[in-house]
Amino acid sequence: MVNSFMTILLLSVTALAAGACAQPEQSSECAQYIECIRALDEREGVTTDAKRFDPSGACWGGPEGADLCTRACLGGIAYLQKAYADLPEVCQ
Amino acid sequence: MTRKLLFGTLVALILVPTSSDAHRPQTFDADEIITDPTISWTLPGTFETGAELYEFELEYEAPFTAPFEIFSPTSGGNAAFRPRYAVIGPGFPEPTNDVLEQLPEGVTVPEGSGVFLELNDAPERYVFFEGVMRRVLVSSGTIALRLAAGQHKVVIWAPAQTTGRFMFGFGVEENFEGGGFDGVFENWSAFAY
Repeated sequence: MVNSFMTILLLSVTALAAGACAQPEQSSECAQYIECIRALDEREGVTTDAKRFDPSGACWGGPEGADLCTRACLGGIAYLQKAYADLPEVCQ
Repeated sequence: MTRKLLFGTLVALILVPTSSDAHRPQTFDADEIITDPTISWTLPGTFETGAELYEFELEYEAPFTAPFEIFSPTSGGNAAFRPRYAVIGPGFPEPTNDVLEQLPEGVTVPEGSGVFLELNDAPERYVFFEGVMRRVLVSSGTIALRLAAGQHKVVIWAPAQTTGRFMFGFGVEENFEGGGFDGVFENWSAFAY
């Protein structure tokens, strides 16, 4: 009985640890934002430093940063759509 | 055996560092406010009279994009405070008369520059617990801005001469080299409450 309880507890703790340590992946919001930025870059002949939002970027080092970046990308796309009339199609 | 495994797992859990993202702290009275505009920063300020104007400059060699936002710490009855900010520089839309009228007195937009204006007036704002300095903050709403190459000015002011405390934050990459936390200990009340 005690051993069963300990095993369940151990499995629960291990699952919790694995979940806590899981590294977030680039969000769909930031994937779209980056696609939009690259389209703008191509139009303007420049390269924007956007590495933090890239799939291997600093945004995805932990859940807090990932959440912040995802909200930022969502806000960034909304701002671009509101502020600029002739955006590339991928920004729509 | 099971007990040893459980003990080992618990020890490993305690030793695993938790993820917490933090901006590099800085104050507006520093000789050079932003020494590297590509890393993350946080700057606290207080509007004692509501007439103050906080400013700093950002210069980029190439276009750059990162999250920007302004926060109000909720402690001490500060939650309702809604400070505003603008980023003035190349690449942003040319300001309309309405935008120009909403900038604080004395702030000008150089020829060829545009304006990003954050009025911080959303009916519902994002409230969160900031785990590094352990405070509850209310945000204007984080937004990824794309700043063109060149010089930009960030201007922060209080609407209708309201008073309160704020934190301005931008960037993602952490870098605390060269005394990155010195400003925190020298200005503890500004950062921690």
